[in-house]
Amino acid sequence: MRARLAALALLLVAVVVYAAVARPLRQQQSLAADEYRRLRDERRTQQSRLAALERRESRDQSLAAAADAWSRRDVVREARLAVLRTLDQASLRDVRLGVSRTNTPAALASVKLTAQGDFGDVVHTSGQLVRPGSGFVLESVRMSPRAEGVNLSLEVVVPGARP
Amino acid sequence: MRDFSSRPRARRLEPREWAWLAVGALAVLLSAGTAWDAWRDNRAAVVRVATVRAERDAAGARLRALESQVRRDSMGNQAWLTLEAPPPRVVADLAELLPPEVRLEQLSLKYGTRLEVEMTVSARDAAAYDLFLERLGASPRFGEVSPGEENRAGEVKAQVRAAYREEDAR
Repeated sequence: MRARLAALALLLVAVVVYAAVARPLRQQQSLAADEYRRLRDERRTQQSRLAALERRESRDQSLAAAADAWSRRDVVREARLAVLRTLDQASLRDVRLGVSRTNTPAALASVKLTAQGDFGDVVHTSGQLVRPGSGFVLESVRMSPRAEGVNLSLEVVVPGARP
Repeated sequence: MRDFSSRPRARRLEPREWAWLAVGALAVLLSAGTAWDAWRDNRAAVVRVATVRAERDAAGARLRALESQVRRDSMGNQAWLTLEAPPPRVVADLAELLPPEVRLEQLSLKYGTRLEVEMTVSARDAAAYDLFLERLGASPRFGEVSPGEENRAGEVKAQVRAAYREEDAR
């Protein structure tokens, strides 16, 4: 009889341990898993925004550096030469180029370019002109059909403030 | 030596009683083991939550710091758009959306606080044009799609305006 009572007591202890300790801990763990998923999703969203902002910050720094470098040079001459160097690599025709100083507070010079060429060349050249590190900022691009190929009309500015 | 005392002898446990006790002990061991596992798993989960919370908070703090640093002026946005959405990129994104029966005739891009795209397209028929507009509207890259005037009979030639969305969610 005593042995049975002892066995029952042991079973009771087992039930109490399970109900009072193991089960609540499992429930807490399940809540923690939900919380973990929520926080992980928030972290992912923030990290993706952070990556974009870090690229943006890096762009701001390179823009500031480029503006500083442009402001210490003959901006019109340098901008013209930079565009010509890109055009030398391109196979465009009927090129018309105009580079002038601007009176706007955020830009040192403005470049206007029109040219004709195959669609692929026109698109490629428009990208080459403003490739990272070029220091140019796009204002507008227009591509319209011509009898032979495409007409490109492009405006870029050199950002910066006069010293 | 013989035991002459009158105290009754302790009764030996029967095998059935031993079995009862064994079952009880096993139940205690099992529940203790389960509790231990639960405690260990719970502890690991709490540590994971604390780690990911710390990472989220750190990212949030850095995000706030950067938000106040990046340039939001017109030239800053233009420079950002120039890098993120140069003409080849926009043309490639548009080309992905064009059905085979639709051609891009003219394209105009204006860079400012945002990138405005204006295009003239010609489609073999109205259904192809409708499909292009549907794709453009559903694209994450283009928003605020505003179709211009169009004819519904024969070849369609129409102007469409849209705003290009770069990756940075402002």
